[in-house]
Amino acid sequence: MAEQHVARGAAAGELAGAQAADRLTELAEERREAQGNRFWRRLKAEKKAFLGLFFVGFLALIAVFGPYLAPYDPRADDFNLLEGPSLRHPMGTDSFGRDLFSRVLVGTRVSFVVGVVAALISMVVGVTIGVVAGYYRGWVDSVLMRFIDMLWAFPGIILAMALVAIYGAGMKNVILAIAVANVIAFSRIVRGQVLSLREDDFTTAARAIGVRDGRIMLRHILPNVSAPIIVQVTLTVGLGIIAETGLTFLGLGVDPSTPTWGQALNESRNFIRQAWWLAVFPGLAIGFTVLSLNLFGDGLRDALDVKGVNQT
Amino acid sequence: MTQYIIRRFIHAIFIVWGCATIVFFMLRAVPGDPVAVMLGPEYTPEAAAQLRKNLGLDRPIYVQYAKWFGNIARGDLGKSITTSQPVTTIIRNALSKTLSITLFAFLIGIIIAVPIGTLAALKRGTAFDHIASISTFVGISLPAFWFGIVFILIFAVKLGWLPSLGYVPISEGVWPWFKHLILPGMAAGVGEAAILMRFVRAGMLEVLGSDYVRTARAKGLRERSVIIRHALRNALTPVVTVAGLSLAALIGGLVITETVFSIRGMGRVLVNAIFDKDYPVIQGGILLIAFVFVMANLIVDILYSFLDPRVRYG
Repeated sequence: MAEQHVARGAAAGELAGAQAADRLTELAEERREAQGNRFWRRLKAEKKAFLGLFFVGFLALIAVFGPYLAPYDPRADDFNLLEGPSLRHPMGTDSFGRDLFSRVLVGTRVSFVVGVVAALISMVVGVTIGVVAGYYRGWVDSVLMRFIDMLWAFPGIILAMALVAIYGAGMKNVILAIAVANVIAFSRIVRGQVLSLREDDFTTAARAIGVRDGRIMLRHILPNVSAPIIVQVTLTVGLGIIAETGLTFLGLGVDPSTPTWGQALNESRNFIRQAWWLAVFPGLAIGFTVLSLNLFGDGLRDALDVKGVNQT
Repeated sequence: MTQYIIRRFIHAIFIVWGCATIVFFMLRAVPGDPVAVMLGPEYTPEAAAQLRKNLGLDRPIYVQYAKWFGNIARGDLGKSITTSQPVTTIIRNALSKTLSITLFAFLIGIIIAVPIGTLAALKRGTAFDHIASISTFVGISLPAFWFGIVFILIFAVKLGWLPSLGYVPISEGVWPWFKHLILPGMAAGVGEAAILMRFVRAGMLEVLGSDYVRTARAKGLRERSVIIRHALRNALTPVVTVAGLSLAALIGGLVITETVFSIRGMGRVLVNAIFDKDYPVIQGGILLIAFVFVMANLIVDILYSFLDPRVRYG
């Protein structure tokens, strides 16, 4: 009889626990919805973010449709060598007689792909490290964060160069190299936030009713660190684009036959006295793109009221 | 204080050990046989066996690891595969150039950032503030090597004021050395100035609204004295940390900028070594850059603890 009571009590406890967990998830979702509405209101009010978003959207369209918008085949060397900017060639021609405007348009795609994919990879790896380190603390935190400290001692581009030295150049390796170099920022930012979130009432409540660690991290903690993550992703895309152009400029980046901004700048070095346009236009394309991303990231940071994320 | 410095020092040693371990495993991470990769078309079984012996790769991994640290402790980073020169000699020559430009760029960054950041904060919301703010965005968004190309175009090609390429050691005269330093230093310093300027402005804005600045004004002190002696001094404290952190970006940007100016500094040495698959030089170069960066941050941390005593007790 007593055993039946205990079993019934345990079953009731489990049911209550499950109901409480569901309610907790509902509350978390309601909270997120409210936060989402507030975010859109703030974003609309933040001119910088809106301007940045507009430019980034415009550039994303060029990245997608660039090859179709280009007036000439970017690889065709059909024109006069080193012809200055004109109506026919708004950015002039390069030392092989190729239309620079077409090459800059097509190059947008490469830069965007490298920047976005590298940022997403860094985000996934960095956030996982940050959440796990911040949530478990103790030796897990020590091991993971000391490793991050060690990686941090290598300037990003040096780390990327080291990885290219090991695995060779090429688009895939450049993306991975840039991603690894940017993992550090994500893990540090997220860990800092998770350390305080794990002590919050909603996390304690979830733990008390027996919600598993994985679920707490995924459903309760992660959504609450999404704001700094979004801001960091935006800024990392810009950093990734600069790193890609730098590596390609050095000859350690994507395949030289692919039209890219870094490649165009590399070629400009040999003709700096004869053809200023070769250096100026690809540089302005990089500057405009990264500036748009920084404007958007900075505006987002203000709209989301995020602290501790910057371009340094 | 001493305890804090010892703690930070031990942490720095630990980080350097970790960096050296990462760099040690770098060669072992090369896909396939690293010796075959290094020899390339010159590969013969005899040459491979000889190189493997020279690099100590024929020994068990723990022996290699112990030897690696023993050699580092003695300042021996091995020999270059392509030139047979000691890596330390190659790096010493290159590092002096890179550090000269880094320090010069850093100085330019501070000279631009402090007055403009301060003025932007004092003239908050004015046209000056907006222009300064836009300039920082532009400075952060454009790569240093592009500034290098543009500066060559303007100051060397169009105006003919400064040399466009190369580096002259200080032993050949201060002016020729300085002349060759200006353009690469400016190219790398623009981004540095942009980063620092944002923090100077933000720091000043925070300090200007504080009680002690209000008190200083209420006491009837002159505005210049309030700004320089009270506000700026405190506003610059956090900038010290940012300056240390931004050093990574500065060195990173510089390794590419050196290529623009054909300066055989650390960046050029590393890039050539990567092309030549000269792994001892790559390892030595990367380790040394990490070492310089860790030491710079150690100095910054200690300096910061002097400027803000709260850090030592935190």
